[in-house]
Amino acid sequence: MNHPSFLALDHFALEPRAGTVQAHVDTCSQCRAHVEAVRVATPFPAALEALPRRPGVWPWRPALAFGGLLAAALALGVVTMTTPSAPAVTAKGAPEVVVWLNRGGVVTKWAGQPIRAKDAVRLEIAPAGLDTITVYDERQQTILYAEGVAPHGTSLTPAWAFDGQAEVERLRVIVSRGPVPLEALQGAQCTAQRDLLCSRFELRREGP
Amino acid sequence: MSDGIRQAWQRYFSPVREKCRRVLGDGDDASDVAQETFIRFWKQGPPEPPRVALAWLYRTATHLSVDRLRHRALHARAVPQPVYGADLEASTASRQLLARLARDADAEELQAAVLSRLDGLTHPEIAEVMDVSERTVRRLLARFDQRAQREESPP
Repeated sequence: MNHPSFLALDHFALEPRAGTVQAHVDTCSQCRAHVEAVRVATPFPAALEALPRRPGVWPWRPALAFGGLLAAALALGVVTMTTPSAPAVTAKGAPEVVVWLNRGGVVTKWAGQPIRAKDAVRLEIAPAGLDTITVYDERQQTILYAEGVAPHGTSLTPAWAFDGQAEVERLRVIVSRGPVPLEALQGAQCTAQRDLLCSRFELRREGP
Repeated sequence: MSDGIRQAWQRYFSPVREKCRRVLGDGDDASDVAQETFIRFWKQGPPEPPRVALAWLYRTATHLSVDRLRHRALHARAVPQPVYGADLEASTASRQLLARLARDADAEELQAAVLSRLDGLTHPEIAEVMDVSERTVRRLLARFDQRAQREESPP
């Protein structure tokens, strides 16, 4: 019998969803035992009670409240859709990328203004027939987000909070047909290729 | 803060501990490495969603477990008997092979092998956890297999 990976089982234990893992767990006592075992909480060691969380190690930490705020702002008509265009790539036929900025709960379209610590950004992307979005952090040389998307309509990425540590954060948004591996991004220029379009954003910190 | 760390512990510590046990057996090493992984996780601010958090935990736990395996190999410590595995016999053989190769194999090869042989991850899952391409995963596993073949059939 082919078992799901332990990663898939652990994910299922945290977020049960109907599907192939669920179907397998229902019929496989071994995998069911694993799922049940990892759901049993281990006693929390008191020594960890005061363990600090160090801010800023991940400069673009997910800002989970952003989606709700954006939705609320849209519902209330707070977001001005006629603000000056963000410096996004919007060439004819190319995917369109809009950067939304959440500052203290007020969501606006980013228009190149400096950003502050605790500001959060979220990207709205129209993939124009392509099917994969990758967001790459040039400074950290890491992929912040990679997801397959519907080729038409628009998709929203998660939001990321700016920690204010770096003077400038450079993000690349790659819209492609199929995933783009990290090695292909590291050291490469942000240039268009066949079935791949790249937009680049420089978000500068306000003040010194 | 306390509720946050307790909640994170309740959600994530058990999968991490089980993962470390698959690599290191049921001794103190597995508990130490699991706790070290969790502390790093918490200090960095646990990411969301859970799938991303788990990938991060698997990556870090694998790094730390491989470091521990190599330390054992260099100091010739016996590997505790395994206690867990989807297929106990196969996972025992895999763990023993990893322990034998821990001294000489490249760390990335060992990490890929741990994720493949002991955690049962698919190539796309390994690529996600290690943050490399699937082609790199295939190359690392092929190199590990070649090394394992040489180990199993000496000249």
